[in-house]
Amino acid sequence: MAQTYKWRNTPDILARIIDGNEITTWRSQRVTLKPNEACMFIINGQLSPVFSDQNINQIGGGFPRFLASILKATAVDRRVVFGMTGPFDLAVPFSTQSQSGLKFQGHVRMRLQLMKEDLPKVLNYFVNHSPVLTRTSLARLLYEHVNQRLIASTFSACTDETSFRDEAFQSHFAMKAEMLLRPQLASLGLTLLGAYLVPQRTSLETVNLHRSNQTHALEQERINAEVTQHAISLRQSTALRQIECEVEVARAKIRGDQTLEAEAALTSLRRLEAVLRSEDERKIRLNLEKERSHSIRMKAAMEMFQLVQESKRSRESTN
Amino acid sequence: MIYFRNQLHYGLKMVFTPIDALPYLRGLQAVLAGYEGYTKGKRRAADQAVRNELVRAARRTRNHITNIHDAAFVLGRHELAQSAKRCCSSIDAFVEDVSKASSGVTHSFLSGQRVMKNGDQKRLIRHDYEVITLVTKATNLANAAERQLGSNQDPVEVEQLVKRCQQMVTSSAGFFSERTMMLDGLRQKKRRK
Repeated sequence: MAQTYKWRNTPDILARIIDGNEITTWRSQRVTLKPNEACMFIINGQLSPVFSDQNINQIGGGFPRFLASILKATAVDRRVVFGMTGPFDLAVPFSTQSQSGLKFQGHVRMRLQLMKEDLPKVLNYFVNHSPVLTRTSLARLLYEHVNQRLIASTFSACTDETSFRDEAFQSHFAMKAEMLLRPQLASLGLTLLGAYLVPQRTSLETVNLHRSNQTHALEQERINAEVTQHAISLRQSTALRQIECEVEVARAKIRGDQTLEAEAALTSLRRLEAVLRSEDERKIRLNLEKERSHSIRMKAAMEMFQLVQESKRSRESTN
Repeated sequence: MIYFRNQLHYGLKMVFTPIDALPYLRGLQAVLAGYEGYTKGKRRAADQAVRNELVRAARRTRNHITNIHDAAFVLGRHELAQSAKRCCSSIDAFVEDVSKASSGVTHSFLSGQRVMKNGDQKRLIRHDYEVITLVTKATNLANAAERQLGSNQDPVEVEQLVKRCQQMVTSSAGFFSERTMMLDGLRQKKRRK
């Protein structure tokens, strides 16, 4: 049972060359090439066709191969080149100065592709470099070429800090990059699909940005102040109105209290009047009762007096 | 010892190349040695051969257009250089379309593909022939444009040729996408009546 060999474990890897004789596993290694991957064998220095989009069952290892190597029935030198054939982006940093002393920094963004048919040309890289081609190593390789050949000549004629942002400059840069980088990239088997410049902020742009930020902050402050003033006036009018309302309420309350007090006083007066009236009535009744009893007693006394007088007169008459 | 898996079994019925498609087949064989149409066991190989030929022709076209681009840029004819760049972008897109196009899978029984019939073969062979003819025309146009630029002809004519080449490449890309629809048709199982 074959083991799956992984030639690319990070997306940073673009191509790799391996020595097939260094794969010394008991189980043979196989690889499945996706449509954006390509593979090529170099057997005893001879290039095989480029394969893609298929299974390759034995790229190294396995007992039969071990046996064949003992019997000297295998190739002496056996290498496998893998490559990623899809388009990829590469950022190469740059730093340069124009003739007028303006400093420019940033990076060149390139879209490159390793065509399947160009896979053998990657060997030009592996001759002088490590057996793994990554984006980082490619950017490092192209750094000087991009800076000296492309960037320096592009910015040498740049007189102001505003022209390099427009479409004409970018278009001109893309065409120049296409022309100047092609030989270098073609020697590595890479095709340049497009390039554009990503400059950082220049000093003038920084000043303009600062001015714009300050103007913006000032405008923001003005708006804030206006809003605050409006809020204060609103709050003031609300407070005044609230005070008025409270005064009105207090007045109304005072009025209401006075009314209540007057009512209470009136009630007490009425109650007092009633008490006094009842006392008067009682006194009158008592006086009347007293007068009546006095008159009754007087009448009874008078009757008794008359009785006494009559008896007296009768006695006198009898005498 | 290196060996590769070759699992090209498409169906149980043997399908022959239709006689109607023979002229196209001969035309393709003039360009692609060993092209035998989509017979049993050759379907994937034929598809790969056609696509490789399309990519090769497109790259030839691109090389011509690239030369025009560089020459126009050096001469200061930026409009022509920009046209060439746009044409290159179209060619790159076409190459991507071709190299990443679906070609079906090997096991038709498991994938649900129906068996390729003579009508399908005829359509595919004719389509291959026409796409390759279109791309070849684009290559010829690019070649003519470069020749005209080299002979100091009117740059407007060169630009027109480049634009026609771009149009031809775009048409080829559009025409090639029809092939995917044909292959998709093979994936659909027969409708039961």
